[in-house]
Order: sequence, then C-alpha cells, then structure tokens
Amino acid sequence: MTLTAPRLERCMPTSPHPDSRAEPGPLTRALLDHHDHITAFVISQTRDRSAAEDIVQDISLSVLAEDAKGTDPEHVLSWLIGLARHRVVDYYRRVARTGVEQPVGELLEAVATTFAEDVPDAGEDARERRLLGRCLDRLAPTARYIVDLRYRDGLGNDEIAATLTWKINAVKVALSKARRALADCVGRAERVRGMR
Amino acid sequence: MTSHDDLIFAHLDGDLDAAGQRELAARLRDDPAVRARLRELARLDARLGPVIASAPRPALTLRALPPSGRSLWLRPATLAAAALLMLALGAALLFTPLLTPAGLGLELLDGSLAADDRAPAAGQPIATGDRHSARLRLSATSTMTLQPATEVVVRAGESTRQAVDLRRGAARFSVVKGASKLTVATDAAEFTALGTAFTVRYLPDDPGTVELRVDSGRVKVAQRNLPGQQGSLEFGAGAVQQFSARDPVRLTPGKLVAVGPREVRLLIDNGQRTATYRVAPSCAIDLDGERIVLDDLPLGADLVVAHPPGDGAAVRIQARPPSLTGVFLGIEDRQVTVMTTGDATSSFDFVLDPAAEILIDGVPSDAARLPDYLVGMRTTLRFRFDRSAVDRVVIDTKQSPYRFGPGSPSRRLPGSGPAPGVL
Repeated sequence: MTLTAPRLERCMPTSPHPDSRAEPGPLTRALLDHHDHITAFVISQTRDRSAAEDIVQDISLSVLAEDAKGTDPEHVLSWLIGLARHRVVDYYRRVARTGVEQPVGELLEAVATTFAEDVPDAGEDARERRLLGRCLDRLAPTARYIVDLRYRDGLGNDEIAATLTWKINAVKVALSKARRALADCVGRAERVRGMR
Repeated sequence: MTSHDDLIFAHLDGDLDAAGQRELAARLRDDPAVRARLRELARLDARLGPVIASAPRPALTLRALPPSGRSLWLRPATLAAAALLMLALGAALLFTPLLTPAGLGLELLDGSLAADDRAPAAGQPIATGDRHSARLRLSATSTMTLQPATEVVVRAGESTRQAVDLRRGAARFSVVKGASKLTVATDAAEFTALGTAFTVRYLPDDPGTVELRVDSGRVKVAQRNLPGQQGSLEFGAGAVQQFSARDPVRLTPGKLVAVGPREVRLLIDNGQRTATYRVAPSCAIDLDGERIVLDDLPLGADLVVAHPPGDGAAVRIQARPPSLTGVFLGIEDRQVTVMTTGDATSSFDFVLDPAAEILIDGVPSDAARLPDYLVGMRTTLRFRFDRSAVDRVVIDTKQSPYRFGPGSPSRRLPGSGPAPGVL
C-alpha cells in the first residue's frame, strides 16, 4: 500500500502536484501495516466493537502525534500494543460506573502477550479483507444472514434469536460455525497462495 | 473439554464467565497454537464488520407469500394435492396435524362460538357470533381470543408451529417467547409472533386494511401483494400499525424521537408509549410520499424521521446526508480506509466507483489524486453512495480543522480558509 500525506508548502490551484508527497513516519507505517491486528487486539480486550472503533481512532491520532515528535521505539508492534493497552485501561476507567465488566486481569495480560508477538502477515490487511469478502459469498444463505445480523446490524445473540425465532444457543452455535467456516476458507486461500 | 475455538468465540462475544476467562488465559500462556488461533479469529472478527459493510446485503430468505388473498393452503387444488401426496407417502404423522381436529391442543377455554354444536377443529372455519367472544387454546404455549364477528381458520395445530388465517373481525394472540411459532395471515399482511401478545383486526370501514397492535414482545410482518417487497418489518411493544393490501406501509404518526440505522423510534399516544420499528432491508416503505427500498439508503446513514408541521397524517423519513470526519489512512485499488473521528458514525472502508465524480472545493479532480489529499488528513468529506460503492466525493477543505498527517505541521490557513481549489 502506497501512502502519502499532503504537503502544505506546495499549493496547487486544482489538484496536488505529483511531487507533493511525504512518506508517513515509521509508527504510522506500522499502524497501517497492523491496523486490523490492533483493532482485533482492542476488540479482544473490550469485547465491544463500537468502543474498539473509538479506541483505535484515538490510537491513530496518538500515533500521528508521536511520529511528529520523532518517537522511535525499538519494537514497534510491542509499542503499539502497549499504547493500545493504555487506551483500553482508559476505556475501562471511563465506563467503570456503567456496569461494563472487565475481563479478569490474567486474560487481559495473556491476550496482550498474544498480540505483541510478531505476526507474519503485516501489511496484508487489504488483501485479507478481499479474501474474506470472497469467502463471505460462499457461506450458506442462513449462515450469511446470521453473520449479517451480527456484523452489519450489530445485533446481539438474543436479538438474532428473536429475529429468527431460534433459541439463543442455536444462534451461538450457528454463528461460531459460520465464523469457523470463514476462517477455514481464508486459511485455505492463504495456503493456496503460499504454494504458488 | 471446551474447544479452543468455542472459548475464543465466547470471549469475543463477551459471553465468557470468569472461570472460562481463566481457562482461556491458561491455554494462551501454554500453547502457541492457541495464541495463533486467537489472533486469527480476532482479526477475522475485526474485519467482518468493515467487509460486510462494503458488501451488498444478501437477499433475505423469507418464505414467499402467496400471490393474493387467501392462503395457498385453503385452495381446493392445493388441499387435494397435499392429501394425495400424504396418502402416497403413508405419512400418518404428517396427515394428522392438518386435518384431525382432536388432540391438537385446540380447545375452547372461555366464551362461545357461533357453531356450538361442534368442537373447534383445525382446517375448519371457527367463528364467533356478533355479540360473543371466545378464547381458545392453540397449544400449551399459545392462546387466541376472538372478538365478536370474527372468523379464523387454524391451519396447523402442532406444538411448535402454528398458522392461523384471520378471515374477518379481530383476534388477540398470545405466545410464550421461544416456545412455539405462530403466524397469522390476513389479506394484507402476515404476522409472525416473536414471543409476544398482539391483536390483529380488520378495519370495519376498510376491509382491505388490517391493524396490528403489539402489547408485548415483537411481531414480524411481511406485507402481501406488493411487488418488490420481499423483506419484513418488525414492530415492538406499543406499536400500532395499519397495513393495506393495496398500499405500502405508512408508519403510524406520532411524536418522533431518536432514530438509529434502520431503526425508527416513535412516541405514540401522547408520549405514553414508545414504539421501535426495526426496519428490515429490501422492504418497501413510504418515504415522504415515495416508495423506496431501505436498502437503497446510503451506507452508514441514519434515518431521520420528521413530523411535518401541519400534516398530522404524514411521517417523513429522510436519510441524513452521509458525511464523515476522519483520518484517512490509505487508498489502494479504490479501497479507501477511513478512521473517523469527532461525531462521525464509525470507521470503515469503502470502494470508490471508477467513474466517481470527485470535487475538491468545487473543482473536479480524479481518483488518482485523492491519496495526496486524504492520507493523514482530518477533514470533512461528503459521499454519495450507490449501495456499497461511492459515486461522488465532495471535499470541502474550508470546513476542515486542518489537521494534517506526519511531516505536515498542524496549521490553519489565514482567514476562513484557502480559496476554492487551493490547498
């Protein structure tokens, strides 16, 4: 992915000059390469996709600011995960009085360690998303419908169950099965790609 | 032992209790394969939202409705074919629920029926007189109360799936949530109880129109006879809604309050009750006098419901102009990644149509130039969406707080901003 930033010194009357490009800093570069990984980490910590989006936005702004200051950590992914952990802690502090339950500390720690490990497919988000899109098209209609209800409409298990007049447990099973099928499909596509 | 996947999915869904969380933590500490699996499934979970948001919504797989009026079950040819098929198969168990009156749980509890000389039977008209009502048990978990001058036909009486044709009058249905499925068919619409109590009645002065009144729970409604209407509406407790066999749905007027994506919330009856209308995709709805399909609403747009002054009978729904304020992280293969900030709705990717019209401060530009403007830039864009693709992008830099990305100091240009077309 080629990334550029506008440069203010060059003012063009209609469109930017082709030379008016500036490479993003190393932290921003790393954030872009690990965007979905960081988002996944935050979701794993908060279990709230909406809150995770807000936190990732905060992270992106912090990263832009740190790059501007010239921050240069030794291990960038660990640094990003550390930054994300701070934002998650801030989040739980903010929602402490609203009844949002924080996972046990040892799980948060284990999840953070898990996501701070090096990942082989950094910078592959766009391709992975395209693969996932193709795999979605192969889901059985009912499975696809349930996945849509969860990830497009944001319905909880109980709401999906009410919509389909299913038992909640049946929804959980169907949703897990659909996600497992998607993971397998993406994994297969990855393996095929690796064999080429 | 619970599988790794089940533990991970339960954790991601927020369904894992403390013991399960400790179990997952232990496995993560001990097993690199579990750590890799968590990364894999969590990233899948994180990507599904934006990927689905940029994909067309699949067609719903609702059961097709008969083309007109009466139920297909009641047509003589259909009944004859079904009976022959069942006989040929020797399927006594299949035969029983449709035609045998006894042993189905159909029982008169209170009141009286027009034909007192026989027990209520499935497949036969059940009617009340002009002055009497009747309460009947449909099954162990559902009842129906027929108002005077009402006629129904119970199409099936098995314990988990029931269907009632309401031919005239009014009836109240009560179904225990999760216990069984009950569908009530009328000339104008078909109502499916989602664990609820509700009343359906034909309007006396307009027999082509039925009114739904939801006392508790939710009711799913599929409207009949309208081309292109393949989805359903859902109505929550407090909702009162009329359905016509001729016209698309018009939301019941009321004082209109908050609205979310594909959700319309109304205060009705002088603010005493709130009704939430969950609007399914692909469902035609009367939008400010024009029939539209809600799937055509812009991606990410909220529905804004207004009550036009001086017109107590109308409800106006508008799509809030889709706009985002955000940090633009990348564009590749027409895939633009946006992290929104401020009061925007969410972060997501969108696909730029190859023929998209792009205006930067009113000046036409082309997609190849967008990265120079967008990456790392916090500004306001307005998009026009054609389903999942964007066919128009308007960048108004004068409204931007001018927060630029790395390598560019944050600054605000003098005055109200640069001249149009100048960065």
